[in-house]
Amino acid sequence: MSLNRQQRERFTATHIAYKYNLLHYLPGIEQSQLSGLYLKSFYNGTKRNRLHLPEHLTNGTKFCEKCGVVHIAGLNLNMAIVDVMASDDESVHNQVLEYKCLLCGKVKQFDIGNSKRIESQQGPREGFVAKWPSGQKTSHDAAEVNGSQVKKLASGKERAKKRKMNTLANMLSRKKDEEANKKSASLNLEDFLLKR
Amino acid sequence: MSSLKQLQQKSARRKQVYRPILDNPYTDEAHSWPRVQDPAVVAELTRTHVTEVLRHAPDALEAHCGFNAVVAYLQRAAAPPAGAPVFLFVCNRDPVPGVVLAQIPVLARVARCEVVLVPLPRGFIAHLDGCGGGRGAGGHQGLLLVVQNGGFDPHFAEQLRQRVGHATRSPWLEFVAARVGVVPSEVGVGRKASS
Repeated sequence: MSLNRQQRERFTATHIAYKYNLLHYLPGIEQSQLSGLYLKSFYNGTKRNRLHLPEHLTNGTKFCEKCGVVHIAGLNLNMAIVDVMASDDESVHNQVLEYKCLLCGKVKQFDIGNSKRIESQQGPREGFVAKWPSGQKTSHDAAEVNGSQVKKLASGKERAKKRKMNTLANMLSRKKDEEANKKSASLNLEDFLLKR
Repeated sequence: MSSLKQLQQKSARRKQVYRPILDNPYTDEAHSWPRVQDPAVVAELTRTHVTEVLRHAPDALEAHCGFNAVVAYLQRAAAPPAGAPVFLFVCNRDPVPGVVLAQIPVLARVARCEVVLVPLPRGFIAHLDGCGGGRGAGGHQGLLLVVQNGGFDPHFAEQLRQRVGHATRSPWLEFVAARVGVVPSEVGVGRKASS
């Protein structure tokens, strides 16, 4: 039996949705020990149909990576945001979200991108943090580093803005503004005093 | 041999994420957050009745701010006669990491007390900064839970309930109703042979 494209898509949709729903059905009937099997079957189905799942279905947010159970907070999942010391710098604390599966005990950490420094440190650290957009170093960068002041490089947008500000028309208007300011300044008391 | 255009089409097709899986009516993840009528009015009411009040008088309302406090409260909340209804304000349109908010709608449905989820419009997260009891900006992850007890204005609660649609029921989270009879057999295997 051969299916046309529309029929094939409909078949895929029902097939995948069925497997996906089965996974969600398991905690309700307290048969979570089967979920690993069902999750594997669901992933195999998506692979066979060459589907790309949304990221939260595959990165361990929705399903436990070890036992495959659907995470339901408070029922089979404990979650908390904890501070974790960064491995390279002990003064920087990274905030991570920790998921602990209550069924198999698997602990999964998600980096949520908040890092904070310990308050007790004296003054800002004069360290050099390498944040090159590409691997190559230009002499300009090197000069900046040598000056012991690591400035953040102006982004392309800012440079473009600067360029735009330096056009002839802009310079003329700026000069005009300055002159206008001077005129208005002549109303100051000091200016009156100087004239007399 | 394939042209560049064909290759591009191929890669675009490969990157396409399969969304219909989220729209299926059983799990219904596309509608996990309730709809809000007049989001601007809800935001203004929340600002005047909750965040401003908490900023000036932190003890006026029973409030829990931040991810850990909210999760801990919801997990140990009691069933309705003892546990008062709560309002959970969430800044889900602000740049809060998705993984932090992923379980919040699930938790709100599973919690034993009545939870009214109130998604707030974009940019509201700045108003929560002063409510965290001395914590710095961003320490609250866009989450604020307020318990509706004596100090809470009942008129405001009514207004909120009218404007925030009830969270859709998820059949897979209603454990008692969804349970089918999986009972262990009482008849031993060996007994039949002996009788």
